Amino acid sequence: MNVEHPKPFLGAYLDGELSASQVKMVQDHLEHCAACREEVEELKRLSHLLSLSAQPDVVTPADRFAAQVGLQLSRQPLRSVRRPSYKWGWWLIPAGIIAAWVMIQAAAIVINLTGWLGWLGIGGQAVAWLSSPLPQPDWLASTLSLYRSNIPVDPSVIKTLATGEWLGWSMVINFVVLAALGGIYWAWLVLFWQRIDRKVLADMVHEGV
Amino acid sequence: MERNVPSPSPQEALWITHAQAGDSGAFCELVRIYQARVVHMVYRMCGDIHLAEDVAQEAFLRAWQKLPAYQPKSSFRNWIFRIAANLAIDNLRRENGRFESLEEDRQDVGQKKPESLVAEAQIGEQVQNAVLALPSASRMVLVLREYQGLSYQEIASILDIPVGTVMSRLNYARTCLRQSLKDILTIKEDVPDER
Repeated sequence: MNVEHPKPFLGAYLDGELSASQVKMVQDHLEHCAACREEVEELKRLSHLLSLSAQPDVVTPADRFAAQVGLQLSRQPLRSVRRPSYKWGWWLIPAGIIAAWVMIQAAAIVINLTGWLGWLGIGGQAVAWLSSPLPQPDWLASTLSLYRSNIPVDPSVIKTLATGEWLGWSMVINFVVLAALGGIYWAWLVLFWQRIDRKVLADMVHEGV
Repeated sequence: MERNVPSPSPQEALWITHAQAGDSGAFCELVRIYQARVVHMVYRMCGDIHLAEDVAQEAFLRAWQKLPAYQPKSSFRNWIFRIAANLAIDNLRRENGRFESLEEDRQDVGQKKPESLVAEAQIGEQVQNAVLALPSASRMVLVLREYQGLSYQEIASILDIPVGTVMSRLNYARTCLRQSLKDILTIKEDVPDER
């Protein structure tokens, strides 16, 4: 603020929009500056003049005005703005998670079933091919050999995992994938509850949405 | 004039909630509450009471459409003012930024009014014409401040401009008015201290 002549701030001073320190500075200045005092008085007279321009009587009474608006409202149904939480795309996330889980479980069931069939000697070469052990990736073998001596589990379990037999290997894959899906689902759930309006949710439940 | 944002009454808050749920009757109650203020605000912008009512009606219809997006934590009054202000400015732009008052002379023929009232009415008309001569951006800020009593922060929120811009536009409007009304302003009289 230009303390010499705070003319741009005199209007805000009269409007009560200045901070306490700014008000003090203006008041101190006004005590010594007749020109700024005159300007303040002129601003007061201007505000008074503005109040003299009378408010015209509203042509349409409030009740009738509201009724006219109401008539037009009936022709314009309230457009429901779907909150982001309710957009159909939002629901694809948990739907996709469920679909992925179903697919993985179906694959696991098929693999287990072929394994049992192969073990029982049913199905011939096709089943034998389907139930053949998956090749063990190099990274798993090196990881297991690195920690083999330190893993506090039964050596037979390590052997099962190290040989990459279909049962242990598919369990590992299944667990990892399910853990990832579970993590994605919980993240979505947290976001959903943060964004949803509880009252609107209650209304939705009430309306059977 | 009020300075602070008035918190809605419980009844008004309930009407807002019902209106957002689709209750047009509740919305009409809100229209009844705010009709006069919205009409007067638009009138100060355009100078024609009939046009002001049309614009106000359009503003309420727009508000109805946008109601699902309204956040109850913000002032409903300021929200409806924002819609009406935008409509008023759009209307002025369509009229090339200037609207001449088409208000009919309301004086009854043959009925003599006291001279003081006539003089005051003339002054009021002169002031209104001076306000209408302002650029629309400054005029809107002046109208919201002087006639609606809104704070700088509220005006900034309604018009979506910085507070500094509100202050500068207000200063400019007042400077212009002091120039155009200087013959009236120089008549010093006791001004009631309303501040």
